[in-house]
Amino acid sequence: MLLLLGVMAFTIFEPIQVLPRIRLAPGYAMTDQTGARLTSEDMRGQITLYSFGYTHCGEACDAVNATMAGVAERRDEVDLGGAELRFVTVSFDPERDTAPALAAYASQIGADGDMWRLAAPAPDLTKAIVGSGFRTWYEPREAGSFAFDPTLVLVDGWGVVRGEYRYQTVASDVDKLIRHIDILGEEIRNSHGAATVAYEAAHFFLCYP
Amino acid sequence: MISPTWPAERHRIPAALLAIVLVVTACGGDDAAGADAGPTREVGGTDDESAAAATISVTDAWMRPAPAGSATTALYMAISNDGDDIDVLRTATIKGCAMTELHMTTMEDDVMTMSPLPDGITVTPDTTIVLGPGGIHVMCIGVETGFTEGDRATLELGFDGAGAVVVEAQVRRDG
Amino acid sequence: MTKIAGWVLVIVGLAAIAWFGVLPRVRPHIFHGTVIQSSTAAPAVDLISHEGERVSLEDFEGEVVVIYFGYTFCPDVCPATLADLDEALELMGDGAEDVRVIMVSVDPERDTPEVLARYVPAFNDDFVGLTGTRQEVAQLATVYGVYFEKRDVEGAAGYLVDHTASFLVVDKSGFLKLVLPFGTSPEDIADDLAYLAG
Repeated sequence: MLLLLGVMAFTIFEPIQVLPRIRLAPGYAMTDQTGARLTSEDMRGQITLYSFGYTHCGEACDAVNATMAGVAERRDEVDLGGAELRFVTVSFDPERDTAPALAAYASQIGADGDMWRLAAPAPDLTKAIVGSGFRTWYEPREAGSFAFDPTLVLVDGWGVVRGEYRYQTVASDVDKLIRHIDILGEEIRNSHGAATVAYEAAHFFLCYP
Repeated sequence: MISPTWPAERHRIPAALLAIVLVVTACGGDDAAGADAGPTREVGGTDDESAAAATISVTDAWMRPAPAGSATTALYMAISNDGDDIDVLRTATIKGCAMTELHMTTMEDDVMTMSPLPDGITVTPDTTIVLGPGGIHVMCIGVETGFTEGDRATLELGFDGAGAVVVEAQVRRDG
Repeated sequence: MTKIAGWVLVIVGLAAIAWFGVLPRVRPHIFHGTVIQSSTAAPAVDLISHEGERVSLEDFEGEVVVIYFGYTFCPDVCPATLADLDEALELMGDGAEDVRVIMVSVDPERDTPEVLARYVPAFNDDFVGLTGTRQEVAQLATVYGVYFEKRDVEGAAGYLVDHTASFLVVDKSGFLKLVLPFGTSPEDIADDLAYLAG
């Protein structure tokens, strides 16, 4: 009884902020810039920020890459309770984005290759993974370029999408992403015992930022 | 409880949960795992080998039912080594299966992986190895005659030391 | 004196109503897996059943649908999961009428409808096995967050398939609601399914 009252009071007077569990992130097996396999299951238990692009992208990808780099730089500001923050840039141009091409691009955009990996799916599943799975729109155009909607997708350790940021990104979005990742970190740190009930209740009462 | 596998156990699901390989040491000749062994009996190989075979005992053997024509089914049991020497289970043959192999299931995060064990299963002295769901199993590939609940399946095991051991397994749905 | 006794009675009554009537409703059901608050319908399913018919999620409208990705060549974990699901439905009794269990094959090369027809109904007559082309199955697995990959092995098996072992629950209104990890007990499965079916 006391516990329940406590939970209710906690929820009513000091709402816990949680990120919505939007939907499942796709299951995938891709090849990264070193030629190694990268699967959705490798990311289980870690917080992953995904972005989408292609190596022949040019300046159309600059803003998204800058946001990824900006969040990566400030990752020490968040406490994820033992989980790690990872970054994956997914290519929707797998025919050209072979491992060597991705490796060259990684050094160009400052992806270290361990914490921030670049990967391309198999060509026949790219649309399913990037389009249907991550819901990022892209379409091939003439002369090997793509039209696309720059998107960032935040996925938790259970493979659930917790945030999607699908507009032309600007540098200030780093603040927002760091704040959201911090909210996830708080959820991980507090997801034991009675607090779990409070967190479920927060979802129940829609305490979204 | 959000998910039992993360973040509390993000690397591996505890072995106990899966009953991957339950190794019970120092059980001597007491068949610790075979209290309700029921249908299982242990038979030595030829007369010459019976002394050696006595150091290996198999209890509580059971098999999942599968109609004729099924691709696979699995057989489980507890193998005890009551002797003083290491013994290795090399081969297994189930009557009514086109092929029989030793396989192991592992769970990494939430991915199920199954692999053959071409080197067999080593049973150290005073040890019982329990083959159970989610761990090591004898895999029947190509079900020929079909196994229905209540049937008995005949399994012949080939050990390095103990030689041939014939076991009868009960066909039932779960352990 | 009677006045005080009356007030005590009222307070006790209100407390009883709060305790038995209100709180159980306010307290959210704690699921045994990962809950998803999807705002769109679960990804569409369009595959061939073990009875040889095209099946989509709309065919199970008004039912709670459990989707498991597995394959018949898997003799160990897949039967264990299907047996647990069958046991969960048994525990639910009449409540199980509104629950449908589907196994989608991650090994469509070997799992033809005929092969599935020998395997899936053996666990429960109402279970449905689904298969399709490799591409169809791969696309469905992707959008349901399931990873699977063929792996060649030595021996008679030829190849085996590694796959995500958790299973998914679509609620009665067709929204993906829950992911339950491998090893969830039949009791816990039944608890969550009964909540969603109720």
